[in-house]
Amino acid sequence: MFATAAAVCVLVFAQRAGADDLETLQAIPIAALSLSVDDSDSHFMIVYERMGETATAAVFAGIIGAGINSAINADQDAALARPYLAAANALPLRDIIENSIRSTLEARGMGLTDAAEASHLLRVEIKDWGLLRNSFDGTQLTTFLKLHLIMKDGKERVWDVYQKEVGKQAENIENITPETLSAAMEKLAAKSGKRVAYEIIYR
Amino acid sequence: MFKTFWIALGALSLSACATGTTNLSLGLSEDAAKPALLSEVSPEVLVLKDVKDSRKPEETARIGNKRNGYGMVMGAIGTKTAPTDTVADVITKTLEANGHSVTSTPDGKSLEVSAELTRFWLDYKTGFVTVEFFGDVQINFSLTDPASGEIVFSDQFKGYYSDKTGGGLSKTWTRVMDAALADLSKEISMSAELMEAIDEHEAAGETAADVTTQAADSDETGA
Repeated sequence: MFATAAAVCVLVFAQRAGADDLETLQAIPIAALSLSVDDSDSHFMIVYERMGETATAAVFAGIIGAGINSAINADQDAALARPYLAAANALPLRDIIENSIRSTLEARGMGLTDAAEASHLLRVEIKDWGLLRNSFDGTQLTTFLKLHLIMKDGKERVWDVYQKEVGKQAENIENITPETLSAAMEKLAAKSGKRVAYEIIYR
Repeated sequence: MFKTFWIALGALSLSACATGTTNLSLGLSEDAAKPALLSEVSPEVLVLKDVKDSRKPEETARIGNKRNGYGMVMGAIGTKTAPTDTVADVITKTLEANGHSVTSTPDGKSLEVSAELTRFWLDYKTGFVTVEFFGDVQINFSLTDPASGEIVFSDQFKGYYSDKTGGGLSKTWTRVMDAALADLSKEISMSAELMEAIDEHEAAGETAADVTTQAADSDETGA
């Protein structure tokens, strides 16, 4: 039993150490890089009511109450997001990020190549994005974008990290139109792409 | 009645960690400041006097709130060093990691850095089974050419980090805020506009030096 526990501890430690190693892209030689940007798991959302979630419901109504409260908050956030959905769906986030990474790398003399010829494969997965209330007590929202960056050297992962960028400006929701949201998200997506490229260039 | 009093006192004592102020020791770790775009221009001397505190009044005495499960504020999260000093240290280490020198003494020629801290805040969102912590550091950063008095660069830099965990106390708060400071350092060192402003000042200085040298040469020839 002790041996099993020790083995589990060693395994957990080893996994943790491995995860830490992948958080920073090391100064490895990258001869030819291939890029793919995937938006199949991308979700537009507004996190407003959920930002102020507490354990009150759990105290009064237990785990089921907490679950119901959480679902109510999620529904309220979904209602807030509804007026922006058309603009969000029309936003070519994938293209903006891909172009930004590509152009920044190329400007630094690091052209991209096909996957078959590449020594390293960079996969960028677009995750949650949208508007986030910027504090528990506040009312203003700012844009956010979460990317999952995975670089492989052959079959091995050499970089596996989540990059979350937030916008510089914060506004109350009544001052955010679908047009201003689109403009702010385009800017944030371009900046995020540039940041990915710089992380590779200055590794 | 005494029983109620002792129970209340006991509960208060047990929750002391939540009601007091926890001061964090924050800063940029040794290897967090790295060379990036700013390292691609010739080394410059930059003057940084101090960082002005322009945070909202309600956010100056603390950098975050300790809340109970109902969301009520029970205590404060503070810092051992003034956030303005921590940010000044981040700016200095970042510029130095990129090959530049930082001084606090103006010489009338070197670009002067003005920084204004507008936000230094730790917050968290309680989910159904997880807690997401957010570290947010924002500064207004500008460069002034002392010779002309002109502001040659001005932008807002933001250091941000979020982490979703099962929960966490001062160790987690410190890690999140330190990561936000590291992100701020990256934002500064990866600014193409800041790099151009430093480069243009350096080029203008070289041109001025060339003109001065040529003038001195022609004076000598004339004499």
